[in-house]
Amino acid sequence: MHRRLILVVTLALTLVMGLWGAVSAEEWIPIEEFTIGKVLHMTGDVALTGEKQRKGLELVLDETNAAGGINGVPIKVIFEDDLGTNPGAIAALNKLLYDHEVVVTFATVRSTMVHALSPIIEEEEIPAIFGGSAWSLSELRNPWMFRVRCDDRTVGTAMAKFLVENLGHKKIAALHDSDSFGTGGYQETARALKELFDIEPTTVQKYASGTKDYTAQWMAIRDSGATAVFGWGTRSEDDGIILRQRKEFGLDNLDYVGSASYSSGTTRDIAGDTAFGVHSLADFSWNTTDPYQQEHIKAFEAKYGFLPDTDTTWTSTGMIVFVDAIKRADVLKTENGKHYMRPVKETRRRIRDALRETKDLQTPLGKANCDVWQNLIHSINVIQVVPEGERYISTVTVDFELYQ
Amino acid sequence: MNTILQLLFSGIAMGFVYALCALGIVLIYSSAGVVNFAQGSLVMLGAYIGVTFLTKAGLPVILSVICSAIVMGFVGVLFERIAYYPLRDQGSTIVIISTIGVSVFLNDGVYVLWGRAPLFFPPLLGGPPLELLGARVPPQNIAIAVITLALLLFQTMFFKRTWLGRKMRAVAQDQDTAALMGIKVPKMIDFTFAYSTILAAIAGIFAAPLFFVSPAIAQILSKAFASTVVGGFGSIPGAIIGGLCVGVTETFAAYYLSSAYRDAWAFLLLILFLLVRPQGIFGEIVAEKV
Repeated sequence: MHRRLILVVTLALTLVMGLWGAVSAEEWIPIEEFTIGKVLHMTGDVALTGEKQRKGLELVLDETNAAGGINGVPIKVIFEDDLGTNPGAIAALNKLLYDHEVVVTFATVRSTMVHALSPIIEEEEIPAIFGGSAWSLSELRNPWMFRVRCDDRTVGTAMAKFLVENLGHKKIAALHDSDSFGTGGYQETARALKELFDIEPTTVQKYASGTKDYTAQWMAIRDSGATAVFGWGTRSEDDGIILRQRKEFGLDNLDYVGSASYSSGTTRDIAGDTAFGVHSLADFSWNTTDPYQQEHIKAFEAKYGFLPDTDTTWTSTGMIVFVDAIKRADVLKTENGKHYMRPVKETRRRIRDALRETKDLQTPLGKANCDVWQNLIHSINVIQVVPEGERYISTVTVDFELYQ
Repeated sequence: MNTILQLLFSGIAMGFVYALCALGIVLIYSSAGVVNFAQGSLVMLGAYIGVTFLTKAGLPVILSVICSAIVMGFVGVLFERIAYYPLRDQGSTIVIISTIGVSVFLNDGVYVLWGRAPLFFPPLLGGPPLELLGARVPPQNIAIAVITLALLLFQTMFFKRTWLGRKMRAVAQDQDTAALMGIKVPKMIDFTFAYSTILAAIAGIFAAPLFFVSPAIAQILSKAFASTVVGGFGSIPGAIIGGLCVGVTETFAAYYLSSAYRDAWAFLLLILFLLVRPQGIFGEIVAEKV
């Protein structure tokens, strides 16, 4: 009798637990909207880029919501100011996580900030899209972080190949910002020059962001006998002064191949004719021949009255990637006019898995394919600054290994 | 091209820019006994106002400089009325904090008024660089040197030879005694701040073609401050010589030692002076009686 009672109770408990588990797996949380966080430069030195990032993101956000959201659920993006600093970025992400309880988030475009945010993203297990290009971010192997810009290893390789194979230089000097972006970019270009062509830079000149005079750097470059320079800069003001002084010292006969900022609209505005002839490896080109990208340019200009650039396109791309992954992850539904989401942890896990399965997705930065490093963009444009704006030269796509 | 001469000329050009900003610091320190940490931001504001008159209002260069100077003169009086005068009896620390507050306000305020993109400011003296003993000197650098030396001369004469200058010096030395002598102290302090911000406007307008117009211009405050220490705090010729020392030192050290630590060399010079000759090149050791 006693044994039978235990058996019945055990069976009953098993049944109840099983049923509860089954119900739990199918549980949907009622929500008003799906929230995405964005750590954004709203104040501080780099606030200009933050404003552009917001516009790029909102272009896709508005289009998505106008089309009925995702499975009928509207999307809301919450912005928090990172002040342009690492501590500010950490505070912003914490606010997004704990005050706003966002489901997924954008990190920033600055590699040093993404490094600072990575431990929190991993601990909280929140899918995060970022635009920082430093290769060191891939080496973190953070399973929750996804990059939607070309990484520095790819750009560095393309830069080295362009300098040697297209322009025919062998005596090449380096000039770079000493921050993590500039240093990382320099290292990747120098690595590619050494590995592919056995070329060492004739001189390596560094500068701190905000430097106002580059006489020492230009004299060292000239004295090294270089015929070309590759430059990795972060700030348009710095790029502008570098190019102006290059001309003042009569060194504009040296070919200059720079990172994306050298062809940005801001740099071109302030550098004027001193930027003409400079080559740049840019994530995005207005003169791209890709019809999808041309449509994006038209839509952006129609909405905001100016052309998109790298700052706007990485967030547009990130938003497109997120929307696509959220759709495929099957985490949202609308029934009888009410919106539901799966439990947060499960939603985040499903979105992460969907992000990893991203394949051949059209974006303003080319086709997104998630590789084993969780990098989604593998193309970079070579352009030249000319009086009319920019001249598109080519798009370089590097080999990659898909995640799945 | 002669490398050493090129480094020297570029260092001197940067030195004159620092000196232009340092002159304003020295003026306020000499007259009101306050270290103005907003001077860099006032230089920046002068550049923004200058570029507005030049490119938005379409005024000729000279008229833009004059209009900017007038506007900045009023800004100086406002600055003094808000950040200095109500706090003048609270001690120098409070006033310094107040000037830092103004600096933060201005640095963020320009974003609201002029947006976040740096603005192009055409050179006041255009044309190709001049070849000088194998080195290239842009005409704008020569313009900066000329205006700095002219201001040095004007400021020295003004303080030594004019009644107004003497009254300002009297106020700087002892406000109570100056008041007993019939000098209107508040007006003199108003005038000092107005003149200091006019200097800031001139510095901003002349530096803008080199650096572009952005809040980053305000960063020259640190080098200007180092210049005043090296030259001797409170000394007008010291501000010029200090600026030149800082500019030349950092340029040569960036070439021969490391370009990455360009700013560090300037501050190393500052530390060396504080250790070896804290009164600076033109300063005098002041004995304190107990």
